[in-house]
Amino acid sequence: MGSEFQDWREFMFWWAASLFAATTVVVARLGLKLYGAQTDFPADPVMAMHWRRRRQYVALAELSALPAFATISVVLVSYQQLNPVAAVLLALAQGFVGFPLLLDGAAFLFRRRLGLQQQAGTPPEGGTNG
Amino acid sequence: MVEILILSVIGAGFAVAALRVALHHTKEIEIIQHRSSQD
Repeated sequence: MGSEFQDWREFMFWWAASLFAATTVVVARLGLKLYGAQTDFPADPVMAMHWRRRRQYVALAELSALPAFATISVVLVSYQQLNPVAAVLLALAQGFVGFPLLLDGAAFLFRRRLGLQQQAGTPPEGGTNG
Repeated sequence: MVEILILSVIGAGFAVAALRVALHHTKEIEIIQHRSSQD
């Protein structure tokens, strides 16, 4: 079964399956993170506005990254000749890890590949994950 | 498939932009908390 996708319909099927899997994980994670144990709504109105917007934009970032999760996993499977089920599992893993951590990992890899060293005092992008 | 790639790139760009806005609000919250702890 495992090999490159021969047909665009096969590609679309596994892409849709990966998208659904990543959506399930991301929505569950967002639900836990935003509506789980955290009920510390700030009393200060300015702080409450920032708090609400931060939550909104974190959710927006995770949800808008979903097509990229599905595409990355399906393209990886297509080029590495893996079993197509691996695309779904990869999409699940990406949804579980989350976009800020993926960006951190990508930045680390590219920095190493380009031979650049991490600049001191630059906070990681993953600091918004909360 | 090209449409999916374009959609993914747009989504990833939008996600980065949204993360930057979220980071900005996180910093604002930290500044307010820091100020209120000093008062």
